[in-house]
Amino acid sequence: MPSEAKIWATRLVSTALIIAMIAIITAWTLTPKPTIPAGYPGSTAPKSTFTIAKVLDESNRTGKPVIMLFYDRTSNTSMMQLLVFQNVRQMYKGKSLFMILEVNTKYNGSEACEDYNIIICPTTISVLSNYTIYKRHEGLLNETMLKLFINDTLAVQEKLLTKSIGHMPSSKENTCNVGESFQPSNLIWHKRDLNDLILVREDLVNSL
Amino acid sequence: MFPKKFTLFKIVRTTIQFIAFIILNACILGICEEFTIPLPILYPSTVPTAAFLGGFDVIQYRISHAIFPFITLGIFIVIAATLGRTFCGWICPFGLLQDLISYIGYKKVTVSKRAHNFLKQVKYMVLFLTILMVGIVGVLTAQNRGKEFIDALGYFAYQPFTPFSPSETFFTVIPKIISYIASNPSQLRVILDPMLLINLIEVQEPILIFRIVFLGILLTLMFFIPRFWCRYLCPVGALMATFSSEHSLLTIKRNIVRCIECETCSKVCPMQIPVLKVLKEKGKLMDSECIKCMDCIFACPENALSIAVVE
Repeated sequence: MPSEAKIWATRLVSTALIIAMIAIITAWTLTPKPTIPAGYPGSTAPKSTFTIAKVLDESNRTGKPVIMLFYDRTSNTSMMQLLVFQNVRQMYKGKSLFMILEVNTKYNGSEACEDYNIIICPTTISVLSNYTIYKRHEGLLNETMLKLFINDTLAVQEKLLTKSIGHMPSSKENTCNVGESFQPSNLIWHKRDLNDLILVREDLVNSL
Repeated sequence: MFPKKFTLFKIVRTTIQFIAFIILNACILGICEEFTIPLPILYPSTVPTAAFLGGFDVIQYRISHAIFPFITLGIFIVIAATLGRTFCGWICPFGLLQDLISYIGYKKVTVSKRAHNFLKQVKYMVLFLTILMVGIVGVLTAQNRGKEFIDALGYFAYQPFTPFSPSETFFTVIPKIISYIASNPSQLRVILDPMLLINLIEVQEPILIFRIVFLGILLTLMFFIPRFWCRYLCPVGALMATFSSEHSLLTIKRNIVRCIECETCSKVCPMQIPVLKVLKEKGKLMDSECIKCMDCIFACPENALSIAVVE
């Protein structure tokens, strides 16, 4: 028979290992992660309004990403983006969910504007089915670029489905792992309308 | 009395299992890019540090979304056919937890042969019911019908087994509760009021009370019956056993000259396989329940058992 001391040592080590297993996961969860401003890639999409919450939950249920467009009807660029968006929307029907949110109105858009940190119109945001914002583009996207934007999101969504974490909010939501970070250096101010100051990407303006 | 090498082997195996646990949680090492390789282990994808995927979660999710899990099933079949249930014995974190609990336990209980033979079929029932459930949801999703039914199933529609998985309760829910308490020191009073804590957590984790109670019962049983979950309830084990079905390449052989038929091998087997009886009948340990933990090999006082590759 092994000595009593050995038995107790085994019990002690086993208990320590069990505690260590939980402690490792808990400690990592409690470690402060780099904070991402709301509405930017890697952060959780805010459910600002009932409609947004409904669409995001539908996305979570069906495993389809959501493409959101924030636009302002007083901005020409926004209206151009809206046309492109509507065209592309038909092509991706069934693969992705789409939301058009008008800012400066009493409806969904204006409430969501603050939560999503919308400072430029148009802004296109893609949200994965686990409520994580994957991509954000400020300024105009032509048809090809918008398709690339959506295709990229769909590819990541597909991976997410493979990983099976699609329908459950992941606890990794608030980390920097997903998507790309916001680089404000390539943005300049352009006066497009009398009433509006619209921030657009310089390279996009040149390409138009 | 077991030979000294048996104790050493137990230490080595536990170390390997713990290293595997660290690798599975590679996020803690700063490797946060998740690998898309699903492994045949019971490890939930919802663990915040998980870098690999529990294959069964992937299978459930893909079938329920009307996508056949070719790659995941392929991985299961290849591993089961070559290594049998080695992953259960050496990699699975929940297997490690069960082993550690059985080391703490006072007295091991041997389940009667009749009860054992009946209970080990339960895991196949769990597997069948899960696949049936996700299959129905998958068919409805493919046909774009039964939205009300799927909505009514809610939490259980796409991964019906996962909410019952003690692995998810242990590795995801419990750290979540501890994190919640630790990150809200002003709400420490919730510790004194369990119902308040449950209400707070239950917003995120439905059926919390059931999960905790279920885990508690299982942990208690594991004190007395080693690998209770693997033996009788684990659907991943059932799936692996189905594919390995006694024909995996890796097996255990007996040296008839050395063997004194002391039955030590059968006594130490955590899966309660009658090792000596099977070896006598078949010449090799061809049992789909075998998790290749190799306890029998190292416990043998006469070194009569060895690992072998089927020719």
